Amino acid sequence: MKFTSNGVSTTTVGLVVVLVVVVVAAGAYIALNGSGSSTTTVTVNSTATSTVTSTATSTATSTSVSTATSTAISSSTATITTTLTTYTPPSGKISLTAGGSTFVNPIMQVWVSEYYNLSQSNPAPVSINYQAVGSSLGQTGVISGTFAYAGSDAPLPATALASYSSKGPFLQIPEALGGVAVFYNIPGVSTSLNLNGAVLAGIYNGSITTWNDARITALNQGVPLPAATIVPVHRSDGSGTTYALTSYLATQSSNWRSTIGVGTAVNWPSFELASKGSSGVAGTVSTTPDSIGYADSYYAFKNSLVPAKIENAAGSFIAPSVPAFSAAAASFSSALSTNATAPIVNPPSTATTAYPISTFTYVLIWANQSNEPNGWALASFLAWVVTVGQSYSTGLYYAPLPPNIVTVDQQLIAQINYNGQAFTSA
Amino acid sequence: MSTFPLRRGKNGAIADNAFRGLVFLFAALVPLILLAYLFELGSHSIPSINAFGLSFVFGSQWNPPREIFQVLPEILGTLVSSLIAIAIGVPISLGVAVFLSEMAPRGPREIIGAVVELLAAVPSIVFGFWGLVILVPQVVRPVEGFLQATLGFIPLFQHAASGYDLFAGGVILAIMIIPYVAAVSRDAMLTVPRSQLEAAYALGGTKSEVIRMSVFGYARSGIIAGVFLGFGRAIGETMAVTLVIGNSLQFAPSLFAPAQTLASLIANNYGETIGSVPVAALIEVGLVLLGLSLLANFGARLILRRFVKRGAQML
Amino acid sequence: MITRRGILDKVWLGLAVAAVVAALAPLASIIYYVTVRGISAISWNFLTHNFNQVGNNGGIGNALEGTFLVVALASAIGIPIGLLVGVYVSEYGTGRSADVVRFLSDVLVGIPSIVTGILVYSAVVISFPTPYNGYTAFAAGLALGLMEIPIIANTTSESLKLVPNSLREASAALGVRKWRTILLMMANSLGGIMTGILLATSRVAGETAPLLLTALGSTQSFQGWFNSVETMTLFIFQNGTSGTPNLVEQAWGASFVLLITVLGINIAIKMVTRRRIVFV
Repeated sequence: MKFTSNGVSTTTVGLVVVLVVVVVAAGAYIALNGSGSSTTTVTVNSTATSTVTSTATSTATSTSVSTATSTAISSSTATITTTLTTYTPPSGKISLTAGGSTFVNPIMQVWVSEYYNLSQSNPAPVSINYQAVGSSLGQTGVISGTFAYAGSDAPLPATALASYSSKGPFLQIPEALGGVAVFYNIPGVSTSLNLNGAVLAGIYNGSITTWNDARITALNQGVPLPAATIVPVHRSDGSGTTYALTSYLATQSSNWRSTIGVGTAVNWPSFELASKGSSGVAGTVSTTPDSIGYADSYYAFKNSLVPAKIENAAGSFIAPSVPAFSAAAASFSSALSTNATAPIVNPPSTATTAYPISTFTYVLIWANQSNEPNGWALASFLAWVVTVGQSYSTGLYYAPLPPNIVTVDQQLIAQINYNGQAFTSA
Repeated sequence: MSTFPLRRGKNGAIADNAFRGLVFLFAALVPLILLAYLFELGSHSIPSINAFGLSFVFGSQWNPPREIFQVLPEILGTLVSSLIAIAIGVPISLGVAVFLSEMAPRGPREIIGAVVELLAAVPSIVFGFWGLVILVPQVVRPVEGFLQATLGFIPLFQHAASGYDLFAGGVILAIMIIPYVAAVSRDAMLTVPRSQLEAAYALGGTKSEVIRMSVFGYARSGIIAGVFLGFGRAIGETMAVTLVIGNSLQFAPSLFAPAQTLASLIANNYGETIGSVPVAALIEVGLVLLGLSLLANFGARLILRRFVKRGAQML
Repeated sequence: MITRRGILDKVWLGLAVAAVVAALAPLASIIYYVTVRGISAISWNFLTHNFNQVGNNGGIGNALEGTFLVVALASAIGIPIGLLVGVYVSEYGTGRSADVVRFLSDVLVGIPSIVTGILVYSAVVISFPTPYNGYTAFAAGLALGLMEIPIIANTTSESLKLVPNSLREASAALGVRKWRTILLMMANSLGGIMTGILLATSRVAGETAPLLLTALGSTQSFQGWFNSVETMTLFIFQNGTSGTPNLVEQAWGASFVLLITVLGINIAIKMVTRRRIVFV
């Protein structure tokens, strides 16, 4: 050995002092910060707070719903008086973990943070940690019990639902309405490109390889598209956004339907890049020239990426926008009335202003809850989300839920129960 | 170990035996922990082993919706990115080791050696983040462009080079293994007896000839052990690689194609598996990775024990 | 006299110098960028607000808290066990068994951290999902603790082996109990032991992969050991990959804080002990 032992010398004393100082400083820091600042003030660029009071008093649905379901908020900062069942939880903070879709993450964080603020003066404030880990991970999390609920843009197929029925009903509750934006990073091109489903399918399955391909330039006369190889970016994790996009592409290309198919994860061609999460895709596109990617429209706008205009069935090129998402949902209202998880991609040609890649995103949750305070917290939170929570939508590039969907949601939320006792009634 | 008379008196014997018992108990934990790895990962992989058998490691489809789990592309990605890391990192490490053991004057030697070792202290996510935002756009992409312009006729360099690919993964792994390979090599070189060096100089060798013939020759086992260790470190690295390797589920035989390693596959897909077979498949990926790294580390440690006297404290 | 061999000699030696430059350049680049881009993100808000990707005022408050607590748990597990394993290898083991334990400990050091994450994920997170919260700070601390054990064991045994035998013999001659002797020896080699502990701690503080599978991440401050938790490394991962300029800046800021802490500990150790230490 080449070194000598130190013994108890100034050096060791020094090290011990360093360690003690670090420990004391950290302890002091934690003591000073406590559990106080657990929420940040979220500034949403809309009149969100001011509309809270107004929507609280008016019923959020067009059909008259008994006030037993809406959480009446007396002022924008003070108490929630839930006119739910007679259950009152024991006092103390309720902490829950949830996760899933990155598509819904922007508004979910706002909901979670606002609801925490609003519930502060209650004996049992509700603190929810939602982690955007992808729809697939959310699904498995809620099914296995590691998440209290999941956010997922892809509903579970009927076969899967049937296999879980032993644990009781599994609820899939539409909570937000948005659109999948397709964005790109082409040096020299700052305008919004016109694309259609066939071209998009061609880009992602490798049959269209350069930006100046005739099929793209035909839709974009006058745009200086370079002769560069396209670098498509997709999701590396299981994603409901992928599910929505591939559902749309399957309606547009029979080749896509039969080869790559529809799903939260599909057999993408090998030359494409993949990134984790919607923000990962947006990030990769912003740093990779000649790339193209897809994510919830919030991420495109947040990263200053220009979304493409997609041609809908009526032949118009539509950019993702709140009215366009609402139009898409409206065109499927009869399908949605029988199945709240029906897809809304590729609206019929009668919906002239609809955005073709719109999608709902769902809360997945077991109806039978195993813990009463937690079940109560979840039911109250969700009841708030589908009514008052919708006022935050437009500021974050989501469309508010259509009224008939809110009604359906409230009926679903009324199925959340503990030992058969529901927490809300619809 | 020296002998210890354990007094048979009552006072103190209990404490002594209790302490001794505790020490033995905790020491037994070490093999137990290793067994726990093998047992836990092995037993939880069984549904997947039953379902796929050897096709798990020889097939190329990772398709969760259709419940097909095969990891050959990821195994290839792991091995090839680590080999690239060795190809780039080992020469640099040897140069550093030579510099530190044979060339540098005493003062700078300590400082430079210490600074190289600091590279090992940088958290891997910081490496990955720096790689994602700085190394790939500023260094890897231009280099790839250059290679493609000059050597593009070779299929190895023929992919659309976005920068987030196998090559970038290899480069960042190379940087990360340098401190390890350099440390082990340097120690191996320092064990060369002075008599060997003096004899070589006496025969008229220049410094570099002496190094190449005597030092490398004598220290060869140690250097090889260091290479094994670096390789083992590279196969297991997760975060730095995941952020720059492109995350493709297929392996294309080109340096500039996006790829995936076993570790990045886990990082990208953990938990997205429900049902006994998919969960087992994910754990089986961990088992395969564990197996590969045990092979590399066992090999390295065995060589180290037999042929290299411990110089620096290698933990 | 300029000879071909002479020139070749210079070329080879020049290559060695070039290698040193190539090895140091990435470190310099990392430190440069982390400092330059990270410092602008630091503010009181940044240090106290919690992880938040919506809105512009997220921060590392809960990440700092989480890292500290999870590493504390890891150390509470790793230090006692690691110390005593080291004691065994140095003082109690018979030649063969001490060798085997030391060898296995070396092997444990080399196990990839993501595999440790899978072990705890498989054994704890999905096997015992505490109601409504499977990803827990406890699981995270356990995973990091498993990583600390072999590191601390190895440094401890090496340090103890340096204590001269004369001390053991003198102690025995005086009739001092073995366990008290060992405590005395540990006090004697406190420098080496503390070094090992600090290195293990700073090493696991920089880990991310096992935390993906155990801690999950959180937007709330610490909610208890059986709830998910945020750490500095997760923060950097989540924000650094987002591509949103504000979030990337926060990631640089967090990298800055983490890097100066980890490098600071390492530099302090090197300066104080003049000991060459590399985790292998």
